Amino acid sequence: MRAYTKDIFRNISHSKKRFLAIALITLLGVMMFSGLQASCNDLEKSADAFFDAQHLHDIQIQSTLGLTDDDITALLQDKDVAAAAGIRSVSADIKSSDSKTETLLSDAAVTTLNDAGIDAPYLLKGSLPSAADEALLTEKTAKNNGLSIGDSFTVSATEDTDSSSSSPALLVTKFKVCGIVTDPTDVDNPFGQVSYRSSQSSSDKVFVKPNAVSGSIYTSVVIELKDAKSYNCYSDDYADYVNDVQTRIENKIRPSAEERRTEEVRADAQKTLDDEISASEDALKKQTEEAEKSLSAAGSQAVPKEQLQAQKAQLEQKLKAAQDKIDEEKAAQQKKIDKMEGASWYVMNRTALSGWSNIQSDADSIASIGVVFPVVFFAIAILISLTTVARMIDEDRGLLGTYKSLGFTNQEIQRKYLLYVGMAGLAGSIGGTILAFIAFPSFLFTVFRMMYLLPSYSLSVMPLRAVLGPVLFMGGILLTTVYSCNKELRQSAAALMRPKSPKPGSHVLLERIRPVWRRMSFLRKVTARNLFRYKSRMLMTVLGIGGCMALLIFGFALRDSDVISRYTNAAITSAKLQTSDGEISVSLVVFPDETDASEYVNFDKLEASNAGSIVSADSGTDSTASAGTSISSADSGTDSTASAGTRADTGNLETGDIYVTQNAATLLNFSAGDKVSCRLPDLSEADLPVTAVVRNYIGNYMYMNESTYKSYFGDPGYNAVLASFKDSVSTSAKKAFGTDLKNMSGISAVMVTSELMEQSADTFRLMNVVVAIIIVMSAALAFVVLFTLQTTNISERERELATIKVLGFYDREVHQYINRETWFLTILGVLIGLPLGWLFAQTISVILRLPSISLSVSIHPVSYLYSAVLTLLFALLVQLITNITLNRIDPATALKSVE
Amino acid sequence: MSYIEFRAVTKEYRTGETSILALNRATFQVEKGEFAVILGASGAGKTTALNILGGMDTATSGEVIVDGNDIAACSAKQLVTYRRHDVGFVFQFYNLVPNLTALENVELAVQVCQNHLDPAQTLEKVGLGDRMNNFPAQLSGGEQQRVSIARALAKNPKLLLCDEPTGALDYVTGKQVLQLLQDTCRRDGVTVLLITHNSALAPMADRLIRFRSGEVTEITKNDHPLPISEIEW
Repeated sequence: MRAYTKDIFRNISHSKKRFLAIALITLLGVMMFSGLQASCNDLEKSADAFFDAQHLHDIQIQSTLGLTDDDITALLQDKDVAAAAGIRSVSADIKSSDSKTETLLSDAAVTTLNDAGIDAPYLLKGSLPSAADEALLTEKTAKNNGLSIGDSFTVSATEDTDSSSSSPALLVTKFKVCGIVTDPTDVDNPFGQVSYRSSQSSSDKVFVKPNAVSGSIYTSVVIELKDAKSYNCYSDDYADYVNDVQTRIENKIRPSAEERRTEEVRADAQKTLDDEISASEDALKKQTEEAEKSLSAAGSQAVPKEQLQAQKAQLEQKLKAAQDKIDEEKAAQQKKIDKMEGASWYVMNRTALSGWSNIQSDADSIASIGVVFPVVFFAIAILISLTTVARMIDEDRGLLGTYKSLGFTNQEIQRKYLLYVGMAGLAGSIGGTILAFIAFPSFLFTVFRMMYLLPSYSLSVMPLRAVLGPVLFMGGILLTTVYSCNKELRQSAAALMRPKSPKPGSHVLLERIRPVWRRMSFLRKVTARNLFRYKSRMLMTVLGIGGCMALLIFGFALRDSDVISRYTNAAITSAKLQTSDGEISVSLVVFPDETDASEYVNFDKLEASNAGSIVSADSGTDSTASAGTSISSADSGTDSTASAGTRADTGNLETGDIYVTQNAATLLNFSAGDKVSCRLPDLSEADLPVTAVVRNYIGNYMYMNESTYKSYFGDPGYNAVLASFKDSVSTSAKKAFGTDLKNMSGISAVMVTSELMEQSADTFRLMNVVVAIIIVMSAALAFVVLFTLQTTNISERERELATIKVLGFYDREVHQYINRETWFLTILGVLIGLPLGWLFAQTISVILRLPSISLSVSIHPVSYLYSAVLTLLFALLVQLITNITLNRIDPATALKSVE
Repeated sequence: MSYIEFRAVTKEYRTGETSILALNRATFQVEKGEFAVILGASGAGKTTALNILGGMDTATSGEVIVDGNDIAACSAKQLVTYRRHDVGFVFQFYNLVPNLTALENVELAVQVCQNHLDPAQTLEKVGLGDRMNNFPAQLSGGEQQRVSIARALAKNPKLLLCDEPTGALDYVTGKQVLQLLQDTCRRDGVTVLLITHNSALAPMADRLIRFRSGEVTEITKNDHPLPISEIEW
């Protein structure tokens, strides 16, 4: 091998630390560049594979009057519908097989499987039902009820429907568990937390064969689209595809289907009424006949005339009353039939499924963090490599001169350093890529497994990113090498072989302040002068540390932004809102005047109501509306107002303000400024002007304060308390508290908002992991920055340090000589990092856009402290290491003169 | 026209307002195959002149003509080529590559040359046949200097420039080194320029050039140069 090449390799082995520093920085940078994105990509891909395998529906339709086979036929006519199946579902309570035990769990839904295999449950244990009395349970249902395979249980419907009606009714009431499954429509992991993002904790499902439930009406119809599987279900293409079909269904099939069904039901009701009335009238006729018979019978007997008259009159009265009653009844019933609400379809896609959309929003928010970080890492990586390479070339000055004098071209000399840096970068890139695509996702999978019930997660590569990351980082550090080399090589060989003259000293501004200067000890004066001597390094240290502080604060802020610890009274009633477009129920929430309602509810005002706009399937604001369906994942770009606004963006509830949530606005087709008619349970009514439409995903709410309510209705009776827990309360304690509350007399309902917080816990479990990763990375970065700068500092001033050693400085004093400067710069960096970190954290709300919570960015003061302490800890660690290096400087060798 | 012509060469260093003239219109000539010795006290400008001659530094003004080519007018790239093929330099402080052995150091230099001598043989010629695989850190000062000379010699250059090669060496070793240089000059016809501040060496030169304060004060031709073995100091 040529001597030149040997020199390169020996260079590496003789300066391992430097080589490692460059490799490490590249590794961290490349890993952060792709790691988060890869994990999210894998999550979405794994989920997509699962949903494809289980034939998860692409569209689900529900109707206020139920769906029939005619509807299914109509739907199958659409060119993109591959399969459609009806599902019958009955709400029931589960009891154990011996009826002596109390209800084990209420609100289960006995749901039929379908022959088309849509929404097929994933079998974990056991087998699919073969008989009508065999049932599949989800793990949650099984655990909650203490049931396992082979156990029997009974169900009793919560509403009585007899099996002769067309609505779904239970044919079988005693079931045997034949298998435990995962429901693809609900992949949120219930253990540890309940997903908040569904409107109700999704009912426990019991899956049975179709012949266990009677009825010709379907509770819902699920549809599989032809090309859906060819897309990743989280991609925009999929959303567009489904949206197109949804629109077609809405425009072409829905109107006629609704009409048809409405007519059907009306005709049925009318027929029933007519039958009833004629039956009643027949009965009455019979009664009349009998009465007349008895009268004439009485007339044939010797009964006094007056008595007879009286009896006759009485009878006639009775008959008339009966007839009146029938007429009244007929009129009332007829009125009901005439006033009957028409069928209304709800066409929903997967965004209505909480599990599906949780995955999407989690992947999105994690991915968006993954956008910001690599940029910061990249900047710092360039900084570090610049410093390291510049230092290396500086040390080799004489060697560069020698090479030049021997007749090597600049290119050839540069090649040596490019190869050095290139190999370090390559090693780091390879390591980083492996970590990013294998270790990182695998690690996050453990978290995902806690959050979702997906059976398996697979690793995959994102080829573009895998190449781009290394290219960017290596390109960056190679460019800095070229830059540093060129800078030196521009000098003549002779100049290079002359030792570099040390940087000239100069007077510091501080000297002008004589009283201060005079009082400073000599060593402190030296420190002051030295600080300004190496201005560029000073700047780099301060910025490097400031940047790392900012990253740390960012990490902590992610974790902190979920504080609530207040409570207020409130009046919550259900009210009916009505416009010409229809009527829906809303929860009316009245706050006391003095409460800052925005501390409990995030009023994110939308510009205009979204009625009529057909939004991309990502947005939850279109036709998915009924209270009780979960809506989520509003990645909608449709609103220019702050999407996940900080609390500062939203207004407080002033007197006169009436806010209504967006679903109501869409359904009833009103917007801010319109009037809606509101009817309370006590039947008091008022026309309310809507001040603003606010964002909300779960159910429908109307908000106003006490004064507003008083002006329309009178005093609100406070019947509720909105409360929040302190941070230190654990989730299980919150749940226990909620249960205790529930059991107290006088309390009718408790909604523990740690089911709200569990969404917090849910998201934040993932977030906590991500935050931990970010903090560790930032810490590693801070460490590398400090270490590199410190070692560069020392090697550059080796002679100076050797000299003071010779002059008789103790080791400790030599340490102080250097460390004093470093501490000063570190503290300066920390101070700068504080506002920088605050600024950085404000971008969280923009970056994350978590749909189910508005993150109001708040940073605990303590987090600033943590970040500062961590940074200073690292400074201390680095200092300890460099102290060792300082001790090793041997004055004799360091001072060996070249000239 | 002489083989080497140094014409009114000035080298000025400017730092802020101060201006230092390392060379002030220095002029001298050297013929082909001559052994020239440059004498002068410290700071006289000897090293500067040699550096410019060796293409490692550039003159502020003046002409430097070597074998018909004006070095001072060369571009940086041309200078590299010049250094590659035509010049061998021996430094006062050796300037060896610390990561390479003695043999590799010499190999390094000939890598870029065309008609070079065999590195191992050259090392043997300088008397380091059994130290070829040692690193510079394992060699004494004199040995390192000899490696440095071997490096320069192995390139088979037209011009051998030596900047105080014996400055750090003892009497005996120094004499050996000088003998080697003289032999190379006589035997192989290499033009040698040697800088020294030891005036006792003056008799060995074919031409003596004296520097003072950046100017050439004297050029003496010596028709009967003494072999180094006869010179004592």
